[in-house]
Amino acid sequence: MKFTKLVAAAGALSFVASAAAFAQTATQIVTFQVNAINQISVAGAPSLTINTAVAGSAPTSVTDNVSTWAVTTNQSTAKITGSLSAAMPAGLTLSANLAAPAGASSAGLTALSAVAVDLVTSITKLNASGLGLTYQLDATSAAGVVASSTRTVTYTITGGV
Amino acid sequence: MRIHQPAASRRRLVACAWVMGLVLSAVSATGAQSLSVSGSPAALKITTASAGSPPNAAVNSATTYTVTVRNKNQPQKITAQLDAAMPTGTTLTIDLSPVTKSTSVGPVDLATTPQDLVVDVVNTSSRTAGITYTFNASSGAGVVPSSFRTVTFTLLAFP
Repeated sequence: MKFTKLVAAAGALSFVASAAAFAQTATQIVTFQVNAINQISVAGAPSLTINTAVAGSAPTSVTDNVSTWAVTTNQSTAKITGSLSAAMPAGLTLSANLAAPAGASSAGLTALSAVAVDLVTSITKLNASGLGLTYQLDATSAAGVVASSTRTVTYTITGGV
Repeated sequence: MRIHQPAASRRRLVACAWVMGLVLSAVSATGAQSLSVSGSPAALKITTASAGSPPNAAVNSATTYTVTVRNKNQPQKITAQLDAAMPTGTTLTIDLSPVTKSTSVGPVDLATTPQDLVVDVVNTSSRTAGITYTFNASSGAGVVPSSFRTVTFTLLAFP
Protein backbone atom coordinates (compact mmCIF):
# COMPACT_ATOMS: atom_id res chain seq x y z
CA MET A 1 0.00 0.00 0.00
CA LYS A 2 2.84 2.35 0.89
CA PHE A 3 4.49 1.71 -2.47
CA THR A 4 1.24 2.37 -4.32
CA LYS A 5 0.99 5.79 -2.64
CA LEU A 6 4.63 6.48 -3.37
CA VAL A 7 4.23 5.64 -7.02
CA ALA A 8 1.15 7.85 -7.25
CA ALA A 9 2.97 10.76 -5.60
CA ALA A 10 5.94 10.40 -7.89
CA GLY A 11 3.64 10.27 -10.88
CA ALA A 12 1.92 13.46 -9.79
CA LEU A 13 5.27 15.17 -9.30
CA SER A 14 6.36 14.08 -12.73
CA PHE A 15 3.15 15.42 -14.29
CA VAL A 16 3.45 18.80 -12.58
CA ALA A 17 7.10 19.10 -13.49
CA SER A 18 6.42 18.22 -17.10
CA ALA A 19 3.64 20.80 -17.31
CA ALA A 20 5.93 23.40 -15.80
CA ALA A 21 8.56 22.57 -18.36
CA PHE A 22 6.19 23.57 -21.14
CA ALA A 23 5.36 27.02 -19.72
CA GLN A 24 7.94 28.51 -17.38
CA THR A 25 6.99 31.87 -15.88
CA ALA A 26 8.66 34.66 -13.97
CA THR A 27 7.29 37.94 -12.66
CA GLN A 28 8.44 41.47 -11.90
CA ILE A 29 6.64 44.22 -10.01
CA VAL A 30 6.93 47.55 -11.83
CA THR A 31 6.16 50.66 -9.80
CA PHE A 32 5.52 53.98 -11.54
CA GLN A 33 4.27 57.51 -10.90
CA VAL A 34 3.97 60.90 -12.57
CA ASN A 35 4.64 64.00 -10.50
CA ALA A 36 3.13 67.44 -11.08
CA ILE A 37 4.95 69.11 -13.96
CA ASN A 38 4.73 72.79 -14.94
CA GLN A 39 7.24 74.23 -17.38
CA ILE A 40 7.32 77.46 -19.40
CA SER A 41 9.95 78.85 -21.71
CA VAL A 42 10.29 81.85 -24.02
CA ALA A 43 12.42 82.42 -27.08
CA GLY A 44 13.49 85.62 -28.74
CA ALA A 45 15.24 88.84 -27.82
CA PRO A 46 12.78 91.66 -28.39
CA SER A 47 13.90 95.24 -28.83
CA LEU A 48 11.54 98.19 -29.02
CA THR A 49 12.42 101.75 -30.10
CA ILE A 50 9.99 104.63 -30.43
CA ASN A 51 11.24 107.16 -32.93
CA THR A 52 8.31 108.80 -34.64
CA ALA A 53 4.94 110.38 -34.10
CA VAL A 54 2.07 111.84 -36.03
CA ALA A 55 1.99 115.54 -35.46
CA GLY A 56 -0.59 116.31 -32.83
CA SER A 57 -0.57 112.78 -31.40
CA ALA A 58 1.49 110.92 -28.82
CA PRO A 59 4.63 109.14 -30.06
CA THR A 60 3.77 106.15 -32.18
CA SER A 61 3.74 102.88 -30.29
CA VAL A 62 5.95 100.04 -31.49
CA THR A 63 5.43 96.30 -31.33
CA ASP A 64 7.72 93.30 -31.49
CA ASN A 65 6.35 89.89 -32.37
CA VAL A 66 9.49 87.87 -32.97
CA SER A 67 9.19 86.06 -29.65
CA THR A 68 7.41 82.81 -28.91
CA TRP A 69 6.59 80.87 -25.80
CA ALA A 70 6.01 77.23 -24.90
CA VAL A 71 4.33 75.45 -22.04
CA THR A 72 3.91 71.98 -20.57
CA THR A 73 1.61 71.21 -17.69
CA ASN A 74 -0.02 68.01 -16.52
CA GLN A 75 -2.22 69.88 -14.08
CA SER A 76 -5.53 71.70 -14.48
CA THR A 77 -6.29 75.44 -14.47
CA ALA A 78 -2.69 76.58 -14.41
CA LYS A 79 -1.96 80.19 -15.27
CA ILE A 80 0.88 82.32 -16.57
CA THR A 81 1.80 85.55 -14.86
CA GLY A 82 4.34 88.15 -15.95
CA SER A 83 6.28 90.80 -14.07
CA LEU A 84 9.13 93.25 -14.66
CA SER A 85 12.43 93.37 -12.85
CA ALA A 86 11.83 97.10 -12.20
CA ALA A 87 9.16 99.67 -12.89
CA MET A 88 9.19 101.35 -16.30
CA PRO A 89 10.35 104.97 -16.61
CA ALA A 90 7.61 107.54 -16.12
CA GLY A 91 5.42 107.90 -19.22
CA LEU A 92 6.46 104.54 -20.73
CA THR A 93 4.36 101.38 -20.77
CA LEU A 94 5.58 97.95 -21.74
CA SER A 95 2.81 95.46 -22.49
CA ALA A 96 2.80 91.79 -23.42
CA ASN A 97 0.28 89.65 -25.23
CA LEU A 98 0.62 85.88 -24.98
CA ALA A 99 -1.40 83.80 -27.41
CA ALA A 100 -3.38 81.15 -25.55
CA PRO A 101 -2.90 77.45 -26.18
CA ALA A 102 -5.95 75.32 -26.92
CA GLY A 103 -8.60 75.56 -24.23
CA ALA A 104 -6.90 78.37 -22.31
CA SER A 105 -7.72 82.08 -22.13
CA SER A 106 -5.40 84.99 -22.91
CA ALA A 107 -5.77 88.31 -21.11
CA GLY A 108 -4.69 89.99 -24.34
CA LEU A 109 -2.33 92.94 -24.39
CA THR A 110 -1.59 93.63 -20.72
CA ALA A 111 0.62 96.32 -19.17
CA LEU A 112 3.54 94.89 -17.23
CA SER A 113 4.85 96.17 -13.93
CA ALA A 114 6.93 95.03 -11.02
CA VAL A 115 3.82 93.30 -9.70
CA ALA A 116 2.85 90.02 -11.38
CA VAL A 117 -0.25 90.12 -13.58
CA ASP A 118 -2.22 87.28 -15.15
CA LEU A 119 -1.51 86.84 -18.84
CA VAL A 120 -2.97 83.38 -19.64
CA THR A 121 -5.37 81.36 -17.49
CA SER A 122 -7.16 78.00 -17.55
CA ILE A 123 -4.26 76.03 -18.97
CA THR A 124 -5.09 72.38 -18.51
CA LYS A 125 -3.00 69.27 -19.17
CA LEU A 126 -1.27 70.15 -22.39
CA ASN A 127 2.01 70.85 -24.07
CA ALA A 128 2.26 73.50 -26.77
CA SER A 129 5.10 75.39 -28.39
CA GLY A 130 5.61 78.20 -30.87
CA LEU A 131 2.87 80.26 -29.28
CA GLY A 132 2.86 83.93 -30.18
CA LEU A 133 4.31 86.51 -27.80
CA THR A 134 3.95 90.17 -28.70
CA TYR A 135 5.42 93.15 -26.86
CA GLN A 136 4.28 96.73 -27.23
CA LEU A 137 5.97 99.88 -25.99
CA ASP A 138 3.93 103.05 -25.50
CA ALA A 139 5.27 106.46 -24.56
CA THR A 140 3.68 109.78 -23.79
CA SER A 141 5.20 112.99 -25.09
CA ALA A 142 5.92 113.89 -21.49
CA ALA A 143 8.18 110.85 -21.15
CA GLY A 144 10.78 112.75 -23.11
CA VAL A 145 13.86 111.10 -24.52
CA VAL A 146 14.66 107.81 -22.78
CA ALA A 147 18.10 106.29 -23.18
CA SER A 148 18.36 102.62 -24.09
CA SER A 149 17.28 100.56 -21.12
CA THR A 150 16.40 96.97 -20.40
CA ARG A 151 13.94 95.14 -18.24
CA THR A 152 13.77 91.47 -17.42
CA VAL A 153 10.31 90.00 -17.87
CA THR A 154 9.70 86.98 -15.67
CA TYR A 155 6.96 84.56 -16.67
CA THR A 156 5.73 82.12 -14.08
CA ILE A 157 3.36 79.21 -14.36
CA THR A 158 1.37 78.64 -11.19
CA GLY A 159 -1.89 77.58 -9.76
CA GLY A 160 -2.32 74.15 -11.29
CA VAL A 161 -4.27 71.53 -9.36
CA MET B 1 10.38 -12.95 13.00
CA ARG B 2 11.33 -12.21 9.36
CA ILE B 3 9.96 -14.48 6.65
CA HIS B 4 11.64 -14.67 3.27
CA GLN B 5 9.13 -13.68 0.55
CA PRO B 6 10.75 -13.68 -2.95
CA ALA B 7 7.60 -12.48 -4.75
CA ALA B 8 7.09 -9.53 -2.40
CA SER B 9 10.72 -8.49 -2.78
CA ARG B 10 10.46 -8.44 -6.53
CA ARG B 11 7.36 -6.25 -6.34
CA ARG B 12 9.21 -3.85 -4.07
CA LEU B 13 12.14 -3.68 -6.44
CA VAL B 14 9.88 -2.97 -9.41
CA ALA B 15 8.02 -0.29 -7.49
CA CYS B 16 11.29 1.34 -6.42
CA ALA B 17 12.45 1.41 -10.01
CA TRP B 18 9.22 3.12 -11.08
CA VAL B 19 9.51 5.71 -8.33
CA MET B 20 13.11 6.48 -9.16
CA GLY B 21 12.32 6.73 -12.85
CA LEU B 22 9.44 9.11 -12.36
CA VAL B 23 11.35 11.32 -9.95
CA LEU B 24 14.38 11.47 -12.21
CA SER B 25 12.08 12.30 -15.12
CA ALA B 26 10.55 15.14 -13.16
CA VAL B 27 13.88 16.53 -12.07
CA SER B 28 15.21 16.27 -15.58
CA ALA B 29 12.23 18.11 -17.04
CA THR B 30 12.37 21.00 -14.61
CA GLY B 31 16.11 21.32 -14.72
CA ALA B 32 16.39 21.53 -18.47
CA GLN B 33 14.19 24.55 -19.14
CA SER B 34 13.87 27.65 -17.06
CA LEU B 35 13.13 31.38 -17.07
CA SER B 36 13.94 33.75 -14.24
CA VAL B 37 14.44 37.47 -13.61
CA SER B 38 16.96 39.22 -11.40
CA GLY B 39 14.36 41.10 -9.39
CA SER B 40 12.02 44.04 -9.78
CA PRO B 41 13.14 47.42 -11.13
CA ALA B 42 13.25 50.59 -9.06
CA ALA B 43 10.21 52.84 -9.32
CA LEU B 44 9.84 54.63 -12.65
CA LYS B 45 9.11 58.29 -11.82
CA ILE B 46 8.33 61.01 -14.34
CA THR B 47 9.26 64.34 -12.84
CA THR B 48 10.33 66.70 -15.62
CA ALA B 49 9.55 68.02 -19.08
CA SER B 50 10.89 70.50 -21.56
CA ALA B 51 8.38 73.31 -22.03
CA GLY B 52 6.31 72.56 -25.10
CA SER B 53 7.04 68.84 -25.06
CA PRO B 54 5.41 65.89 -23.30
CA PRO B 55 6.86 64.83 -19.94
CA ASN B 56 10.24 63.14 -20.15
CA ALA B 57 10.14 59.35 -20.04
CA ALA B 58 11.50 57.39 -17.09
CA VAL B 59 13.83 54.52 -17.97
CA ASN B 60 15.20 51.57 -16.00
CA SER B 61 17.71 49.07 -17.39
CA ALA B 62 18.89 47.56 -14.12
CA THR B 63 17.29 44.13 -14.26
CA THR B 64 18.05 41.02 -16.30
CA TYR B 65 16.48 37.74 -17.30
CA THR B 66 18.05 34.30 -17.52
CA VAL B 67 16.76 31.59 -19.80
CA THR B 68 17.54 27.98 -20.67
CA VAL B 69 15.63 25.74 -23.03
CA ARG B 70 15.47 21.96 -22.96
CA ASN B 71 16.17 21.17 -26.58
CA LYS B 72 17.85 23.33 -29.20
CA ASN B 73 15.61 21.73 -31.81
CA GLN B 74 12.52 22.97 -30.02
CA PRO B 75 12.79 26.80 -30.10
CA GLN B 76 11.02 28.78 -27.42
CA LYS B 77 9.82 32.36 -27.09
CA ILE B 78 9.37 34.76 -24.19
CA THR B 79 6.15 36.68 -23.82
CA ALA B 80 5.05 39.25 -21.24
CA GLN B 81 1.77 40.69 -20.07
CA LEU B 82 0.40 43.03 -17.40
CA ASP B 83 -2.07 42.09 -14.68
CA ALA B 84 -4.06 45.28 -15.38
CA ALA B 85 -4.17 48.01 -18.01
CA MET B 86 -1.99 51.09 -17.60
CA PRO B 87 -3.62 54.41 -16.61
CA THR B 88 -4.98 56.50 -19.49
CA GLY B 89 -2.28 58.44 -21.26
CA THR B 90 0.58 56.29 -19.99
CA THR B 91 2.49 53.42 -21.55
CA LEU B 92 4.93 50.92 -20.12
CA THR B 93 7.32 49.71 -22.78
CA ILE B 94 9.68 46.78 -22.37
CA ASP B 95 12.71 45.81 -24.40
CA LEU B 96 14.51 42.53 -23.80
CA SER B 97 17.99 42.27 -25.23
CA PRO B 98 18.36 38.93 -27.03
CA VAL B 99 20.36 36.08 -25.57
CA THR B 100 22.77 34.27 -27.88
CA LYS B 101 21.16 33.14 -31.16
CA SER B 102 17.69 34.42 -30.21
CA THR B 103 15.89 37.39 -31.75
CA SER B 104 14.49 40.34 -29.81
CA VAL B 105 11.25 41.84 -31.08
CA GLY B 106 12.46 45.24 -29.80
CA PRO B 107 10.53 47.70 -27.65
CA VAL B 108 6.97 46.54 -27.00
CA ASP B 109 4.12 48.32 -25.24
CA LEU B 110 2.92 46.01 -22.51
CA ALA B 111 -0.76 45.17 -22.27
CA THR B 112 -3.01 42.69 -20.53
CA THR B 113 -2.61 40.32 -23.47
CA PRO B 114 0.69 38.46 -24.02
CA GLN B 115 3.22 40.21 -26.24
CA ASP B 116 6.16 38.45 -27.86
CA LEU B 117 9.48 39.87 -26.62
CA VAL B 118 12.17 37.39 -27.66
CA VAL B 119 11.68 34.58 -30.16
CA ASP B 120 13.66 31.60 -31.43
CA VAL B 121 15.36 30.94 -28.11
CA VAL B 122 17.48 27.78 -28.53
CA ASN B 123 20.25 28.01 -25.94
CA THR B 124 20.44 24.85 -23.86
CA SER B 125 22.78 26.43 -21.37
CA SER B 126 21.92 29.32 -19.11
CA ARG B 127 22.11 32.78 -20.75
CA THR B 128 21.40 36.20 -19.26
CA ALA B 129 20.48 39.49 -20.95
CA GLY B 130 19.11 42.89 -20.01
CA ILE B 131 15.59 44.17 -19.52
CA THR B 132 14.80 47.84 -20.23
CA TYR B 133 11.58 49.45 -19.07
CA THR B 134 10.44 52.84 -20.40
CA PHE B 135 7.52 54.64 -18.79
CA ASN B 136 5.88 57.39 -20.86
CA ALA B 137 3.07 59.77 -19.97
CA SER B 138 1.30 62.38 -22.03
CA SER B 139 0.54 65.79 -20.55
CA GLY B 140 -3.10 64.74 -20.58
CA ALA B 141 -2.35 61.84 -18.26
CA GLY B 142 -2.10 64.32 -15.42
CA VAL B 143 -0.56 63.44 -12.09
CA VAL B 144 -0.42 59.69 -11.48
CA PRO B 145 0.11 58.57 -7.88
CA SER B 146 2.49 55.72 -7.17
CA SER B 147 1.04 52.54 -8.65
CA PHE B 148 2.36 49.16 -9.70
CA ARG B 149 1.73 46.43 -12.22
CA THR B 150 2.84 42.82 -12.21
CA VAL B 151 4.64 41.81 -15.39
CA THR B 152 4.44 38.08 -16.06
CA PHE B 153 7.02 36.57 -18.39
CA THR B 154 6.29 33.19 -19.95
CA LEU B 155 8.54 30.80 -21.84
CA LEU B 156 6.57 29.03 -24.56
CA ALA B 157 7.11 26.96 -27.65
CA PHE B 158 8.01 29.02 -30.73
CA PRO B 159 6.43 29.62 -33.13
